[in-house]
Amino acid sequence: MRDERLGHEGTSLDPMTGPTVSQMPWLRSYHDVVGAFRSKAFIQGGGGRRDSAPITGYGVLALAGRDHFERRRIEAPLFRKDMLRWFERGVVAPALAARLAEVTGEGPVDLLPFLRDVFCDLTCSFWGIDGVDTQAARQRFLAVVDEMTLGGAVEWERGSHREIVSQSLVAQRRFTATYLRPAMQRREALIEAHAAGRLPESELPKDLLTLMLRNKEHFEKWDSEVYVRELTLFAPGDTIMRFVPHMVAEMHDWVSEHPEDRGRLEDLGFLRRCAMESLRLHPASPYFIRKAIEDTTLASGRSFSAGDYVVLDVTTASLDPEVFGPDADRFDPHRVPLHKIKPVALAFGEGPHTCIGAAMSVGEVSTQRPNPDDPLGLVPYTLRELFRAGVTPDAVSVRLNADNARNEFTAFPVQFDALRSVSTAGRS
Amino acid sequence: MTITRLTVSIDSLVCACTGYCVEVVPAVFDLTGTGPTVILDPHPSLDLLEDLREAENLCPTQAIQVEIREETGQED
Repeated sequence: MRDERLGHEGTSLDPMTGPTVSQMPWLRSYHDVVGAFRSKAFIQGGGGRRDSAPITGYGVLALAGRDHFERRRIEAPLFRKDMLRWFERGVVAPALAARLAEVTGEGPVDLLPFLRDVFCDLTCSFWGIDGVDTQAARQRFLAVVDEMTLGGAVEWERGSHREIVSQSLVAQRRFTATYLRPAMQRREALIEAHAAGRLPESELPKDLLTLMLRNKEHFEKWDSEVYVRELTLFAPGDTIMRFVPHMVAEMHDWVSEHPEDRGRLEDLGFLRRCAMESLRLHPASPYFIRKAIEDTTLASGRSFSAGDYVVLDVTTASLDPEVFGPDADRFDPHRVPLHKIKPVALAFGEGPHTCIGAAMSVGEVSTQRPNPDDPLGLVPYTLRELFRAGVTPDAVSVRLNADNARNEFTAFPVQFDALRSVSTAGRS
Repeated sequence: MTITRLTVSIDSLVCACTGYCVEVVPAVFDLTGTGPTVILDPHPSLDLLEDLREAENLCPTQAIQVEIREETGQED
């Protein structure tokens, strides 16, 4: 499947051969992992996600050097503050309010399908998929998306990677026929009308698909499947849905033990610190693969030869007591690391492949210039609304997913205590 | 007289060393070793404003700040 035109700097897709993750050397200290993330001597080893290459192909994760920079440059407008404000206030806020309004207060609600449903609108708006606007349509859409994105993160699955990838390929074909092709046709017509002067710039959709179609010369030099593959990599709702339940669990325990902080659940700065501390303990991506493209030695003295693979163990590095203190494995939103590091630690990676959606998730990462008009961050915003609704986990029924290494839940039942009181009062 | 001046700063604590700013405005930003990014010229020419805005938007941790200030004083 290799495209012969790919004479590009450092970008390559490796097949599912060579050493397995367990056969590679692992970097586990915070400074080693940061050093490797930042070093130009390492590239994303086969997209950093070698086994998922048939699903994500030459998506942004696989690219290196100039190719990668060009891709980020094209996609950056989607992450500007005006867009983040729109996703937050125009898409997620009404979806979350609508779903909370549907909660009857009778019995527990599983937070996973609840959030999956809330963030479906975000995924559609971000990607540029039209017409997914009823409950039944959302369920059909999410069923395909779930299968598709599973293969995009197959590295962390414990089952047969080949089997998962082959199911995801089928889902990608179904997605392309049902959702992607119609969305592309509509956008191509709009772009054509704009080029002919019949449609102003402001009337063009602002989504990933439109950006890609307006930069066809960049995307189509890779392969014909690049559109569905790039979308598979960018599923913002899917990622957020995985880590919010961890935050709810940690924060619920924290305020139970520290009632003086209960009043701060309205404080977005505090919620942001909670989100970052939880992401440190439960990173969305447990590890990454890198490949040395030249002989190199890290500051700690560990050396690698050109061609060596190495695993960057984000989970262990984020618990490094040298950096986070002797109680590094405990949730503490007031934690002050022993070294000067950024508040999000490794949650969004480091170096050229730093997650493009960091600010979308947690809002302003910098603490230097708080501005009330800045996006709040989808995660702090969601946490505030959930806690306003009195979210309380049912610890007995919470289940972790044993099928992968992502430390994610398969069930997370909660009660919305504040809504239950409202509902009960309404009946009396 | 009033002078329009650009001021560029970086929050070095949150800089993730992506190097994008160096690609866009090498006259203003530099990345040596494992970072963080350094500012070569904190008051660059106004001609660079568009490129600096792009660097600001490209930074995933929003570590870059570009301010336009009207200052009263003598030209140097």
